[in-house]
Amino acid sequence: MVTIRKEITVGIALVIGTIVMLDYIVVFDPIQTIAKYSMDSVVIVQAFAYILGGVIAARRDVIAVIKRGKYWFNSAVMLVTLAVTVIIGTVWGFDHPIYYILFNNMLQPMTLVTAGFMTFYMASATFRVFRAKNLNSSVLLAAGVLMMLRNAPIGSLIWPGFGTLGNFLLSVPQIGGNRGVILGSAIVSVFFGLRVLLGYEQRWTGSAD
Amino acid sequence: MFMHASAKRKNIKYMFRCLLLWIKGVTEKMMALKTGRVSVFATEIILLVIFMIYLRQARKKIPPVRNLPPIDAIEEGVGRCVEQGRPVHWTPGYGRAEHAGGLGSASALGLLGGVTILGYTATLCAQRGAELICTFANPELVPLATDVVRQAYTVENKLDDFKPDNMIFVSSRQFTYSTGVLGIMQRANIGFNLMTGAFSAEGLIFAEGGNTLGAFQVAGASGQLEAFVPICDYTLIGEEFYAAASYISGDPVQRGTLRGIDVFKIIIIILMIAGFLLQPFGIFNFSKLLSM
Repeated sequence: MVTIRKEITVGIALVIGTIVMLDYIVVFDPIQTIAKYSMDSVVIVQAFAYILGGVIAARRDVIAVIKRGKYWFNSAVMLVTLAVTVIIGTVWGFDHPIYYILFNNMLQPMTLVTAGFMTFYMASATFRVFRAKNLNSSVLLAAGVLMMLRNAPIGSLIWPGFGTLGNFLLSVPQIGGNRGVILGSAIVSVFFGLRVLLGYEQRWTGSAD
Repeated sequence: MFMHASAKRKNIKYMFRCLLLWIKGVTEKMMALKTGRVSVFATEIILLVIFMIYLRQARKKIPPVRNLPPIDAIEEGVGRCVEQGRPVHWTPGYGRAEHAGGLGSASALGLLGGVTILGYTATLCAQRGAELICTFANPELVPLATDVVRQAYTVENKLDDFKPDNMIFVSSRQFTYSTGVLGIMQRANIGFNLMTGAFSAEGLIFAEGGNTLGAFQVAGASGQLEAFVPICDYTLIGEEFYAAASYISGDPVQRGTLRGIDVFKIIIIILMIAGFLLQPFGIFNFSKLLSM
């Protein structure tokens, strides 16, 4: 049963993938129609996937509340918030004041706080990583210090050349190296896509090969 | 019945040529190549031909492929978790923020690549008895990954050790997902943090969170290298991440197709050098050729 399912899955991926790829290249009405239908189907599948995701998340928290585990109260808060948001959004729509409060005055600030964590994580990572242990890390340290002096106003006060040097580092070696990595990734990703379409890569179907 | 064999073959060849000409005539009337996509079409044909050539060649003689230390490190990470009695954590990321949308977006290949490495990791966890926790930001990935992990445990005859409750969808919002995963990592006290997929800003948060717990970390993504390379113990950089799928398969023929990737890269480099040398002098307009 797994083998049949695997071959059907790979077959569907090959046919739809080829049609969508051809739609990018050729002007042909039947191909365009099928490709558009396929892309619309993806949106529908994603919508149902979000419902599935909500059920999966809620199920886990319901079990945690029933079992009264160590952090059951967090799960209870999550379930109550989920229920309130879904009911208000479904019954009264997204313009309801309570929905607006939940989304803009609670969720958004908390999201921004988490985004703010990154500053501290970046600082702690920088403090740990920028050490002159060997040649590579010394070069990284020097480049990091140079970029900090380029960005901080005090850098231009110490020496105006930091800006020019920093701009050169950003525009020549950094872009060159970045493009090399991007080029390599792009080429290999196309090969990976070919392997998926032609059925040589089958782990995603559940096959253990 | 009464035709000589060679005449029959000529007849078949003639009929095949007529069929091809008919198809060509019909397609020329019904469809045309889109402007600016001819070079893409030609590139895809060349890629397909190179792929097939090196797949066939690898069946005769397997070319040498260098080791990928991050993939070997996955085995080390799972072993550490077994020794310390801590779980393994895998997450595929939110997807690139500029095209978030999971498997229906341009991040799909990165996410699929991550699932491939998950399958290998699940096999190791099943073999050695390590607990595996997977966290997701894209709900459509959950049944896919659950199937992959379940299959890995089934093949190892350890289906009783598979815990569906460990396949956790956190949230489809980026920083809610980040916070949720951080909390799961800390509460579970993970020993090995494996991040393979498509990441944006949350990659730094996960890497730093894993480091705070003293976890062994391996990352693989085509982006966010600036976060992963300095913090993680091993990183699959760019092309290594996608090539890992061929490497993991263990099939020498699959590994042989990696030679085709290198050949295509050489072609690209030759074109770049030729364009750099010839175009400024007006000898050949490469940019016009590549934008056809």
